[in-house]
Amino acid sequence: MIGKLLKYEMRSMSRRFLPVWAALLATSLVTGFLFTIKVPLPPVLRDIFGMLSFIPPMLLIALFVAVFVLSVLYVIQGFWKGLLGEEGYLMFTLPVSPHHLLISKGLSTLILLLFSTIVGILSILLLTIPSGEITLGSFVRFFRELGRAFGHDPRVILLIVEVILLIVIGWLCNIYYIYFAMAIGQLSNKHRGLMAVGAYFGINIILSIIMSIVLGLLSAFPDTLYIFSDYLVQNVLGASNAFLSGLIAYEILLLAVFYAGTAAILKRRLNLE
Amino acid sequence: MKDEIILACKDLTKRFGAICALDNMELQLKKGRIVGLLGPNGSGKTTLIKLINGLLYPDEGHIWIDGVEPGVFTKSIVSYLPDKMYFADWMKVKDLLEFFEDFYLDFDKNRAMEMIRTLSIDPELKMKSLSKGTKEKVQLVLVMSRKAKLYLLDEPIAGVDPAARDFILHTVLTNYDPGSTVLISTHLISDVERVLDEVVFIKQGKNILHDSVDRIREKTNKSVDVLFREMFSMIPKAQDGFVRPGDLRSAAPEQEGNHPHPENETQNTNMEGETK
Repeated sequence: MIGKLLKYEMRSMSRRFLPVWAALLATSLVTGFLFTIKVPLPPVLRDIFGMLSFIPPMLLIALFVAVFVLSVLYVIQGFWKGLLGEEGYLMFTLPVSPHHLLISKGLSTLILLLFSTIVGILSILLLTIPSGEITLGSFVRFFRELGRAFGHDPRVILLIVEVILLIVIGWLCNIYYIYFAMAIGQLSNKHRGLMAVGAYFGINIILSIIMSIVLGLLSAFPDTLYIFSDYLVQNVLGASNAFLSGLIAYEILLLAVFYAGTAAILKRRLNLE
Repeated sequence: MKDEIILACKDLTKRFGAICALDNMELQLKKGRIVGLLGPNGSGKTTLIKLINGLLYPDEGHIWIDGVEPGVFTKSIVSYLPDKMYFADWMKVKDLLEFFEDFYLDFDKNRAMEMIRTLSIDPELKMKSLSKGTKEKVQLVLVMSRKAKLYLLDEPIAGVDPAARDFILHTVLTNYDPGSTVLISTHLISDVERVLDEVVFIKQGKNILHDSVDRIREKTNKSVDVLFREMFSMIPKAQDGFVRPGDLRSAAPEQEGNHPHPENETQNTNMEGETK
């Protein structure tokens, strides 16, 4: 069932994002060429060209902002309108469990963020390719150098995997954080939006308080910090691994809390408009 | 088969803050009936329907649909028509057919397509380009093209013109499987009365009367519509503001000679105006 739900999520997503992604890539390419063109032009044309050449970079920046804003909006709207609004009457009466709805929403949003990131990186590459300064060869060289610098230690690969995991789980964590805040918001009959925003900041404050308590407790035992910094000096990779694993564990814990909270509200306290 | 219970509610209670929308509701519906769920605005009709289809979770009590409490299984045998538009408006009519076919194993796409064609609706059109009445028709076609065991129609005829009302009732009558039960909530009783086998009167979250239409006519010598208007218009007259089922059943026939309540006229004409 998750597969079927995902199919419709992706359809609605691609409808909105494919045009923006395509525009971003095309503008990057055009801008990249504009930077490199060195054609002798008569003075009048040069002035016009000079003025016009501002447009593509501005457009590019606007498109980057648009992709970012649309992605954030998609996280919010997909859940707020697609599940907690009138469309919820359809989605929550489908013969699927609320977990499937929640997972398919989160997964499709994660896929969207991944694609947006890839498109963003690609568009920066497209920008640089026409100048000829960065070629495919330079990438190969970059990675070869990177491999040579750290390649003797397999923990580097672990480190890279951990960083990627940290980013991906961090995204998921933020997606479900926003979902959880909106699920709390819909409990209100009159001020759903306001309550959702309040819940978002309220959770943030609670997490900061917990964090400062934990840090306070740690500083009560200064030895732990000394041990860790010693370890860091002696063994950079090992310490970084330990630190990243700790962060990942923390994110997974948060993700589990946000997911379970949202699922419980959707199951027991659904309050559609 | 016909006497089997498709829907049972026991001590069903749902509160919204201080408001008790359903108050120890008891109800049993048998298979193969068309049942009218009748009551004024705010009497708990929509709450009951939402509890049956799993959009709400009861505070107390239980619901069984074909012997099972609401969940994934019951959603696969319940076909629900809400009182709102529940589709993403960028979807085309044919996308919706595909969507229903994907999720409901009991959906008959050919039958739906046939009805869409009969209504001369272009399946390539997007939902947002359709008029409100046409959207409602599409939604009804989808809901009635399922071979469900229980149909829940929440205010299906509110807000549409009389011709559309006839179409809707005709669609319900010609498409529901004789073994399945249809629960229609409405306050426009005169329009649906002719298709109903049974009626449930609901007031302040309680089931105050559940009987067959024939028996009501026989006992009270009145149509359901007239009885409904009398029952709900005499409420202000009751000393404590509550009406007990016993009072109503015995009192109703003697009410005939009485003058209608002064508000009766306005209330009845208002009913159509109130619809969303």
